[in-house]
Amino acid sequence: MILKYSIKTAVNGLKTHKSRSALTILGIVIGITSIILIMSLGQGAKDLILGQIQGLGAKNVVVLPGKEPGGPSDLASLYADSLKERELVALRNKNNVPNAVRVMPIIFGSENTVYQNEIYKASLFGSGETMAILWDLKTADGSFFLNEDVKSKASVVVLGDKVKTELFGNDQAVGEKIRIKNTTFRVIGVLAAKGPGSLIDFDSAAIVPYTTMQQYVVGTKYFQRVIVEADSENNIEAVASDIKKTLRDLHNITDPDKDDFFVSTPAEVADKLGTIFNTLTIFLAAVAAISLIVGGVGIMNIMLVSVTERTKEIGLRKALGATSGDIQTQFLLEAVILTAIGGVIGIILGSVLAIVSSILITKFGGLNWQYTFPIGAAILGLVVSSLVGLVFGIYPARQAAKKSPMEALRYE
Amino acid sequence: MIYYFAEKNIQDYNLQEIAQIRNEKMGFVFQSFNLLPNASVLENVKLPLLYSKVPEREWEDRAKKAVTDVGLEHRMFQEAKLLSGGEKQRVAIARALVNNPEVIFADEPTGNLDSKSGEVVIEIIQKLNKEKGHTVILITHETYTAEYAERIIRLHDGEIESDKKVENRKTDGKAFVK
Repeated sequence: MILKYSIKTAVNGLKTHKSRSALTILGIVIGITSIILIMSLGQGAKDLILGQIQGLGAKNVVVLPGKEPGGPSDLASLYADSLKERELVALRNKNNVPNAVRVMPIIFGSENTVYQNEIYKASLFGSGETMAILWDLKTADGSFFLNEDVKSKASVVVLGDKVKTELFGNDQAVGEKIRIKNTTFRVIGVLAAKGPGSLIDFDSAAIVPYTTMQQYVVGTKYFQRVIVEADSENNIEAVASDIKKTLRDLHNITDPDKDDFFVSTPAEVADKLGTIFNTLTIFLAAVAAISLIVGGVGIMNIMLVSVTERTKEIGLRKALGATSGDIQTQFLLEAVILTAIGGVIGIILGSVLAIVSSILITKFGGLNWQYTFPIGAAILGLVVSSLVGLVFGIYPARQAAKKSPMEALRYE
Repeated sequence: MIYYFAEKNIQDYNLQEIAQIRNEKMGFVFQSFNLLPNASVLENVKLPLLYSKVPEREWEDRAKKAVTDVGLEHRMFQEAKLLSGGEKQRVAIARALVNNPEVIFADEPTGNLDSKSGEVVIEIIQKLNKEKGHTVILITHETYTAEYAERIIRLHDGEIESDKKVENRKTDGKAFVK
């Protein structure tokens, strides 16, 4: 039998039972819809996070104290005090790291900020005056602290939008005094609100000069991060290797395995996060794929019913010269066409839902969420749904092909 | 018991060959018509061609000719389920002869029909035999239907009781009543 007519016959068979066919593919539609939706949202979330990493500085190389943690049992804090003022000076030296534009230390902690009777637990950052430039922080009121404040260990603080609101309400904050761990700080600036979806929550941050924080708050001399900005994205690798060489020389390290620091570039971070997101997305999609198996069993059930119901038709076709192969092809094609249609509907439905979600997320979540059509998942969905038809259609089709024409025609 | 078809033991044919014999050498007309109810008259008649070696370009003409031969050209594109019993059986006859089989088996073709439609059907079958030279083996309980035949083989419990030529074969001029 010519394939064109096999397909035509199969389509006619499905058309005859429209509502049943529609119900049959529901499982497949739901499965493919969820896979497309999950893949699309996963891609969107990944793009969003990676975009934010870029936003935090695609040119920033981060130096961390201690070993690179290899696993949860690794004591990353083993050399937690390996970055101090001495290292900072070395890294700022143009002879050591020629492509560095800015070198900024960070220490952080969590401290109560107190104004009169109001208390708010803020994320406390100690950093240099370059933090505002490096992380694109704008002040809504007042100004950021200056290099002189860092040098003189000035007790000044810049508050995040939320901290300001919690402590002062609508009142003026700049010029007021707050207490952080028994030290009085003068508020000199308030940051403009960043909103949700920022990788670092600056809204609930309080930022002070790192020298002040070391002296009055933490009482230690080392940094938790040193951020080195390269002059261009092309020089990031050069900066990273210069930093490693400088610190190894400084610490008399010859074996890179014994490093008491590690250097992370934005590309590495993006790479790691990307892997995590991909794994998560694939895992979720795999869970959704289980519904495809359920859908496939549904297809098999209905096809078996259909075969029994159409015993007479099968007998007739055989009496007119159809071979067992013709009958098997017909029923198999019916199953495959059915699931493929389910796949297409699922892809359309999933895409529509993903577009709606991205609009809702952008509108109500305040995030810059981009919709992406997961073309790979769509192709995969189509192939998988057709395969489901093939796998779960083969048994009913065999049952149909096995019928003897004489018995089948006599069937009531 | 050994059965032969074209001087070859039936057991020696493979399934493929048997399907081909059903398709090319035999036509079947059933008591209960066995049409595809949702397909048109023409599609029903085309059905055996789908499984045949006849080239596709000939299908349309052949099927149309067969439908015309049974006098149903005005029903060509109607769904089979909308036809009367007599018309259904005529579609079934057209389907049986579309592939020019060597023999047409008609199992009680008038059994489900009223006498008037039955008469039309039987006259068409006779015409196929007399004018087109088709061999028809017709199974019936009714002697008046049997009298349209050229030869009557009488069976009783599977045994041949008598086998004789019909002296005055019954004919009627108005075979194609629409």
